[in-house]
Amino acid sequence: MNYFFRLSLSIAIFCSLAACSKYQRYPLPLNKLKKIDQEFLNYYLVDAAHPTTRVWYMSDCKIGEQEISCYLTKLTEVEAAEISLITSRSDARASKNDILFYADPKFALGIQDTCTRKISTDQMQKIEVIELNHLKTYGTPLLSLTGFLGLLFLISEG
Amino acid sequence: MKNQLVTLLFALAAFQPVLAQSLTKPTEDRMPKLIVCADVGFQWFNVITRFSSLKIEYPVTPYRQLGIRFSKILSGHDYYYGFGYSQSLKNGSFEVGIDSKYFPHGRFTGRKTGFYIGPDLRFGVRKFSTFVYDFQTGTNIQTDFKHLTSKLMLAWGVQWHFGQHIVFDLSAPIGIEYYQTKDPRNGNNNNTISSRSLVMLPTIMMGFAF
Repeated sequence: MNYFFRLSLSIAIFCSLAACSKYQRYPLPLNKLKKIDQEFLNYYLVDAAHPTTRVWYMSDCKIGEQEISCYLTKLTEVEAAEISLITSRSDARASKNDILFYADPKFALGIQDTCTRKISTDQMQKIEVIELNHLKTYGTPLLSLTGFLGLLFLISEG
Repeated sequence: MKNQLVTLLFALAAFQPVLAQSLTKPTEDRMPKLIVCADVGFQWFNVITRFSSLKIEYPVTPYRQLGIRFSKILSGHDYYYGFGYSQSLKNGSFEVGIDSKYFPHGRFTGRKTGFYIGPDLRFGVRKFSTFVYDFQTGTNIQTDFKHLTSKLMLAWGVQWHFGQHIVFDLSAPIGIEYYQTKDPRNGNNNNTISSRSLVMLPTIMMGFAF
């Protein structure tokens, strides 16, 4: 088999597989959040005990050393589920600028539907972001490509 | 051997969920000043060779490394082309190369993955001896010739750091090799034949980070 055909076929397979980018949730330390350009980010406060039903949108966020001050607006249950659940790859890609603050359930119980609050880091269980899983996104196609080339070699060489 | 290696590459897929885990505070980790490595591997497709290399890698940033290598192509691989005609690699075959490794990282978290990708360029010489059996005299007639090689490859692999000093690396660069054959049997030593082929170089590397 012509080597050029092998190469073009392999590149086509790689590109088609690479298009299937894999996203997943990763924890984010608060000190790193302060180093990020925050202009395009969307912040949400999630009740850690009820993540699919009790979610607040955080606007006018000011992130300090030990606390975050913001204006909270409670989302409907449908919106809350959309924010906290990743249903598909396109959903994950659309949510890549979302930052979820998981609040301690006892603290979250006392939050009103709309209010201005200062939330200290002690009242947060974790912060999560959605990022690309590079190994799955690039590693899988490259591994497939390598295996494919190996098989081609074995077939062509007998 | 070839079958086993293909199986091994597919088996690596099973480790993906483990390899994809976050490293702890990557940007706050101590970045090595220099990594000295030794590797073994072999080249697939067209001319099959085994090689052993010494390599020095310099981490420019936590996510980028530059490397220089010297590879000695191991002799002793014989190719038989039929009754009375064989060819083998001679001592003195070598390659030198440069490469760059880029480790993708988390957009917000800075999470560094073990997976890397980057360009890999290698240049070298392969020396061969051909043996043709002369039925009239009953002796082998030896002719030497060489390949001048240039490889342009996409390097990809996974690199693990155990503790502060030990580095383990699995890679399988894929690319194109251009080579010129200088063969006296062409009638003139200056006559060269150029060719190219697809190559893949599965490699295992161990290193020490300073």
